Amino acid sequence: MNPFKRRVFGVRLFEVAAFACVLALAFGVYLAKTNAGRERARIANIDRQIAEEQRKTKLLRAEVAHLEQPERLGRLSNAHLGLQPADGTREALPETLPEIARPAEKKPRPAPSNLLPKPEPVPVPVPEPAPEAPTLEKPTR
Amino acid sequence: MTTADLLRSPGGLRWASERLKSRIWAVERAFERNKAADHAVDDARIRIFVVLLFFGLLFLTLALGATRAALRHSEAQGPVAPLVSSARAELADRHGSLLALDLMHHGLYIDAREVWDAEEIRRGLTQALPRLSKARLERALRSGRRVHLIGGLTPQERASVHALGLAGVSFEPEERRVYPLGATAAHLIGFSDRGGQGLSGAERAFNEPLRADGGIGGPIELSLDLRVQSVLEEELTAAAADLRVKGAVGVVTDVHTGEILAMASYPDFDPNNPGAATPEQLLNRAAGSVYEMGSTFKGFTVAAGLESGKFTRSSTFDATQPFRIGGRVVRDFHASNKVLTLDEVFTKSSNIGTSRIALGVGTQRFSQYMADWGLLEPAKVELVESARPIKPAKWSETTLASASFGHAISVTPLQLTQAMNAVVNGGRMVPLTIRKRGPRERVTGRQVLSAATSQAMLEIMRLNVTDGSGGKADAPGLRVGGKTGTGEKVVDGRYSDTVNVSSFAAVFPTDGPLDAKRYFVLILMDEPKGSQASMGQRTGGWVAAPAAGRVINRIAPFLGVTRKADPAPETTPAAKPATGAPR
Repeated sequence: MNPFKRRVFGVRLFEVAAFACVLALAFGVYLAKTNAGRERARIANIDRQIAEEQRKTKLLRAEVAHLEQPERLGRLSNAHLGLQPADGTREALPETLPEIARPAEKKPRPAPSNLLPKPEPVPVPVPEPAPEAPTLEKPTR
Repeated sequence: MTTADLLRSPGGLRWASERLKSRIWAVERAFERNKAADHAVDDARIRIFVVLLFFGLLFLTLALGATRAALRHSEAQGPVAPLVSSARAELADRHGSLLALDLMHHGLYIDAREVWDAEEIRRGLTQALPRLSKARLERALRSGRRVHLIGGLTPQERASVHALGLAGVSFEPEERRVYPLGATAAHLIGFSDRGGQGLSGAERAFNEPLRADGGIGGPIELSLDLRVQSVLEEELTAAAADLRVKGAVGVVTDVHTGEILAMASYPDFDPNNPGAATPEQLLNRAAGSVYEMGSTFKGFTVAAGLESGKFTRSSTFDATQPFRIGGRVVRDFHASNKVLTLDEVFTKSSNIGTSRIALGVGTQRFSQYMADWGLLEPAKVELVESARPIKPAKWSETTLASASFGHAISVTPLQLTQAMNAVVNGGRMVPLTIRKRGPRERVTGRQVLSAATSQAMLEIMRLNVTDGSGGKADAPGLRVGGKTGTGEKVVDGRYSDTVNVSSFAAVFPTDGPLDAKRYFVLILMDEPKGSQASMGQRTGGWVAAPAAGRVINRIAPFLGVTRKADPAPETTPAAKPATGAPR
């Protein structure tokens, strides 16, 4: 049973086997190439989508940066809500709030001049409930 | 023993060559063997087999190479960069807010050979793009070839033109630098040209890193704090408009790191369209203009006096008489006609006092201090705009007296800032920077002033706000210190007392240890006119100090400076000057 000598339809068995092998290989390569080509097209497509999305995000980030300018927000909140930069005497830290609240309970409506505590411990000037707090205007638009 | 070892030894080599020889001979003799066995036909077969083997090996090598190339293909190629890239990386502020970026725009091209209906194009394009020049369109229509008509189309503009469906009109993508904040921090950010070259500000200073790797690097973070910048610009612009100034400057720095947190120059411009701005608008006055600062300089004179060891805070100076020196007479703006302590020389801004201090320190030593504090060379900062000072050619005694109260020497606001930082940060000369410093970055600086002098200066500057000319800069609970200055400008060769440069150099908070968080604020008004708010005054105490106070009041929360009751003052607070602010 020597495959180099045995012939099938006058062709050596070895050659038939080799030809079959080559066909199988060629088909395999064809499959792999087609697959790879499809994958590559998909990757390129996704890359394009990513680039497009990135371009859009960039545009949106630029728009956000433009819209969120502190100066613009300040102008709008002043024009539509009547807001103003907070006065320094109305600032307080969360830790100092209890201290600020205590004297206010005892003296419900102290005169503004008495408000700044004479003794040292209160570090922040007490924000007096504003007698004429700025009324929030309705957004005019 | 491995094969490799065997081959390396002389015996092994001989063994290998013997073996190879015997193989070759075995193949060679196969012909003889076959001939002897009367199988001559097998000779040819063996030859064919050898040739087959040879080609087989060749194809295998090719196949392996091809496989490897196919598998490595994607990695080896990498991102493709255009030959000449104009792309630039983004710029951000210290908290990551976007300041400048490249955005895809479209250029509009027109090919006259493909145009069907010129009239339709004229109508459509002028309607969709009002900024398109008509002359240019006509030239393009008559050119007979494809020409670039207009660049920088936004996506909306492109869509509106595209919707017209005009034949002969096409688009090509092009990157364009966009500054979403408009005029905000324009001088600090700067701008670049269409080709991607930075022309001013940070765009110019960091041109190389911004362009590195085709601009795909991460954003470059500047030292700028957008919130602080915004407040500074708002207050500066408001004050500048009120006082009808020629120009104005505002600077905020961290005194320990030298980081410029905000820098504004009035008037400003829109970096998206720098071509429309006048040279006056484009000028960065903070870095590129020099001024005779006037009394703001007295801080340096007093610091020099203390540092030299010749004077202490309780040293006294006779200000009862005008001070004669050389052919000059030095007078005080608000003559106090009494003997002043060093503290009072500062708070009452006495020209006589500072002249006496400077002369006491001596020409040699005083000019050395000026040099040590960087007042005789451009401020050390990345900005190429940083200008040279105009310094006296020769330090005579009269120049010394003039320099002691800020005349005879012109410096940029950034130089003043840099030197003031050293005076109040414990005495280290830290170069200014517009780039954010890392949290672990060690800031080194030459010690140019003793810690004791620095501490004393903080106290004296605070005193000037509580009891002196800087009262209007005080912000509740923020322990502001500072020095006013009103430099007279030279008009027709003479110092004019109506054309001034008024400034306020502030530091806050002034209390706490020397290495505590501390910030410097400079407000400068070039040629202010009196206004209702300044009671018609033009001096630093009236025009610059209030703006500085408002800025400090608003930026303190951003910088994490908490309001506190003032520490008990060392000297009993004298009554505040009832009228006017001394110069």
